[in-house]
This record gives sequence, structure tokens and C-alpha cells, in this order.
Amino acid sequence: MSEELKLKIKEIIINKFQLEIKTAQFDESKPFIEYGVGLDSVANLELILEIEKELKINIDEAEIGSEILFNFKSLYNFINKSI
Amino acid sequence: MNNFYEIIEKNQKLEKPALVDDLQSISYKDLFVLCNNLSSYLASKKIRKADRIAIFLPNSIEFALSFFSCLNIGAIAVPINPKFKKNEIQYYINDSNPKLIITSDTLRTILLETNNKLEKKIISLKGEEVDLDIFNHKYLGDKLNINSINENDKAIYLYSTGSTGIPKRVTRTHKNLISLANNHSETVGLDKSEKILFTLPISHTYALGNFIAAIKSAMTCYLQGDFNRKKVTQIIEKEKITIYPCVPFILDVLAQSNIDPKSFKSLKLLISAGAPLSKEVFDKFSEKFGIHPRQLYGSSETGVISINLEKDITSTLGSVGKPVKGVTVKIIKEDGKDANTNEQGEIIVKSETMTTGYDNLPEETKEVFKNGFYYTGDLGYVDKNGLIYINGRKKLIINISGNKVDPTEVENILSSHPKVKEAAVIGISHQSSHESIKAFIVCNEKTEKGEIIVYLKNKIADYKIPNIIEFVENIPKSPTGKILRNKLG
Repeated sequence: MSEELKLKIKEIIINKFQLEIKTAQFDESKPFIEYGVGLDSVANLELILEIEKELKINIDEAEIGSEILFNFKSLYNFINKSI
Repeated sequence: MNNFYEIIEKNQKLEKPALVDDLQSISYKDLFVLCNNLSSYLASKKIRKADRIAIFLPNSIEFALSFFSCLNIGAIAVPINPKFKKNEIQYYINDSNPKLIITSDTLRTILLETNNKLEKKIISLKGEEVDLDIFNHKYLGDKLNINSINENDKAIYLYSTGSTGIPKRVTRTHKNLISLANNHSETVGLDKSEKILFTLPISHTYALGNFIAAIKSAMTCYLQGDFNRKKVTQIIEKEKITIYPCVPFILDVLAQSNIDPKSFKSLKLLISAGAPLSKEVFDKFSEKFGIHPRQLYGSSETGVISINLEKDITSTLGSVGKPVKGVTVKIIKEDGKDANTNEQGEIIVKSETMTTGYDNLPEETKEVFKNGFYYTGDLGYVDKNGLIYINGRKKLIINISGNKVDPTEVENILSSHPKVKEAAVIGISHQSSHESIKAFIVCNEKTEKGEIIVYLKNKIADYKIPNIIEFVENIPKSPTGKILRNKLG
């Protein structure tokens, strides 16, 4: 499940931010800012909506601070706990 | 009524809540006393008529008190978006040259990082270690000379996003603000039974217009610093909010979120402005919540221009409605002649709520303020029922969910990166209701996207940072060196 979940989240991020990489190339430790992810509240909220829709979960955006949106690992850990 | 002091004074006996934020609630009676206290404190700090006071605060009771206290003593309020970064803050502070800056403990640090010489000017009203405990401050006794305030005195500096890389300063007078509050509240039919929720910054012209109209009508204003779905839903449901000014992005998010539609049943007027409201978002929201969003049109130069209050909203949903009281709207064709019904042209506006020009920018003023009208740069038409429709714009501006971005400003900062030779920035259509920013960059040497983003992150507000960056060999230009943006995409 965790690998499947990871893959799904990577796909969501790659599509949403039009990243020119494959899921296998996604560096889980690289800061999101270097991918252009999590830059502003509008883009963050769009990402949360997409994750909610795809994974059928509810997220309180107030809990998604800069620590959660630091890199893939931190976001994944948060989502994994929310499921 | 010639100024807001008289309006707040008139309501001083009302025990009902005037302002409610996360931490507290104050009545109209409190509002009068606290404004007098803060005004007298400001007067004791030798703030005099026409001195500028910057207000660097999010939506809060402290913001509202600071704003009205500035107006009370004839000082000019300069609201600065607390989401701005160093370079931007520096620009607004340099341009307005405030005698005092009202802020919070946490935002004080950001101001000092911008310029540590500002320390002497800063007063913190919000946080753990405030310089002035405004809620327990006793009236100092400095008498306010309200009679010295003339209706044509400057009341507030707002900034309009330009397309030259520099925001243009717009001064609005006491008369402009009072007229705006009167015209908007009379057109919409506001009264003191209404409760309005603000999640958009009241420092910005759209929410500001609604806010001063609400205070003039003795309504209860709920102030939130940010938009959060859970909180918005709780407040609307618990407090039975009747009016909520939004941008289309907020409507879209609410329509897509897991929210019980019953939570919104108290809402009577849902206003959408800042960006065009698409039919898709209108339908999604209306179907889910059973209330139709109403488009409002305005600008920093004019305040509220029009609002769609038509009974038949489903067949007029694309319209921004008819002009509010006291506003004249005309459509002018390229040859300068008046357009006929349904004929396309530029929307021009005349109103007693509008400014007469940009400060210190005679050329820019001459270009768009002509014969008593403001040339908005928006393209559209008026139908046979007098309804205004907007379907384009002349100005080079990108609209990020209601936040206007000048591409030239972003290009200038990108070009200041040592590895960037040149850059071009455009807005690209994004999802159903808004745009996002794409940058095309020519580099001197190999550069990572991350490097560029980190560089921008320290210099401009987050919403101005391009979501998409493409490295290219060259930027298409005309023989005169003008970027050919229509060839980018």
C-alpha cells in the first residue's frame, strides 16, 4: 500500500506542477521549493484538493504548514497518517 | 456625514458586536472608545494631518482600529500587505515615507530585516509584547480636531498594479471613501442586521469597499487573516453569516470540498470579484449550496463600480451587473466614440468615489484619466438592459486568483539573477477560473529551476513566483525589442 500511495502522490504532484520528470526520478528528500511545489497558498490549496479527490480523504489546510510541505517525505508521512 | 469619525460616533451607543476576530469581539460602543484612545495616542506621538501611517497587519481588530484612527486624526493610512517580501515592503515604505508603522510582534521582525532603521517608527499593537496595549489604553486627553478634516483631504494610499514594473500610488480622499460606503450600502441594501465575513484582506480595495460599507451600515464584521475551509464553514454556520465577499478561486475550492451545504444556509449574498467568474464555477457552487454568487466589479482607482443583483441571475451570470449608485459607466470604441448597445469597447468610469490620478506619475495619469473618466483598460460591452459584461483587458496583467501580478516586475527580478540573461513572463489559463504564471528564461550558464525559485522567494510575494519555468534559447521580440508574448506559451 505505501509504495502504491507514494506513486499516486508523486503522480498528483507531477501533473499538478507540470514537472518534467518521471515518478521514478522524484527525489523524495529534495526540498519541494526546488521543484516549484508549495510556493503559495493558492497552489497549496489546489494540491490539497487534488489529493483529497484522488485519495478520498479530508485534510485541514491549517495543518499543512511549511514543515509538511518541505519535501515529499514529510508530505507523504502526513498523508499516510491521515488515511 | 463627512468622515468616518462621525459615522463611528453616531453608532457609539450600539452594544452589538462591530468587529469579531479570532481573539476577541468589540461592540460599536467599544469601537468608538478604542478609536478615540488610539487616535489620541497617535496625536500624542506628534502625528499630524497628512502624515502617513503604514499599517502592516493582517485582517484583525487592530487593523480596523488603526485604519479608523488614522482617518480620525487626518493622517493618511497606508495599508501594506503582510504577505509582501523585503523588496516589496521596501518599495512601499520608501514611496509612502510613513512617520509611523503599526504592526504586530511577528511582523516587526520582517520589517526590521528589511531595514533596521525603521525601529524608531514601529509600534506593535498585536502579539505577546505589544508597545501599546490598545484594549487597556486610557484616553490620553489629546483633543481631536475633527473639524479640521476636509472632505477633500487625503485619507488612504492604495497601490494599483501597473504594467511597468512599479505599482502606482492611488490616493483616495475622505469624500471618496464616504461616497463609496454610502453608494455601495445603498445599492446593495445593507442594514445592521447583516453579518459579513472577511477572509480577503481589508487592506485591498475590494474588501475595503465592502468593509467600510458594512461599518457605515452598523453591521457585524467577522475578520479572518486567511481563508481556511474548516474555519470559514464553522463561522458561517455558527454565526449565521449573511454576506461573504469571495474571489472565484474560493468559490471553486468550497464547491469542490466536502462541506455540508446546510452550513451555508444563512448566506444571502455571496459576492465574487477580483477575477472573472466562470459558468462552470458558478454552476458548481450554485448546485451544491443553493445560492448564486453575484459578480462585483471594481478597481483600486475607483472602488466599487458595479454589482450584479439581477433577479434572473442564471441568464445574466456572466455580467458584473449595473453601476452602483453614483457611478457612470460608458463603453468607448477605439476611435474614441461611444459604443452602441452590445458593442465592444473599453470600459470607462466616472464616480465621486474615484481618484483623480496617480501620484507623481503625470504621464500615466494623462493616459487613463481623461475628461473626468477613468479608462479601466478592461474591454467589454453593455447590453440592452444596462448590464455590463467584461470579456478582455488591454493591460498586461496576470490575475492570480484575484491578486494582480505585473509581469514586468517579475521579469525585472528574474533578470537580476546573476545567471539569467533575460526573461519573459506570461499568464497561462489554469483550471476553470484563474491563471498561473509561466516564466521563459535565457541563462548565461546551466541553472536549476530550484535556484531561480529560491532567489525569487526572498524577493517577491509567493503568489508572484512562476509555477512553471521553461529554459529557452531566446525570447521572441519585435524589431523594437518588445517581448512578443503571444509567441510564448
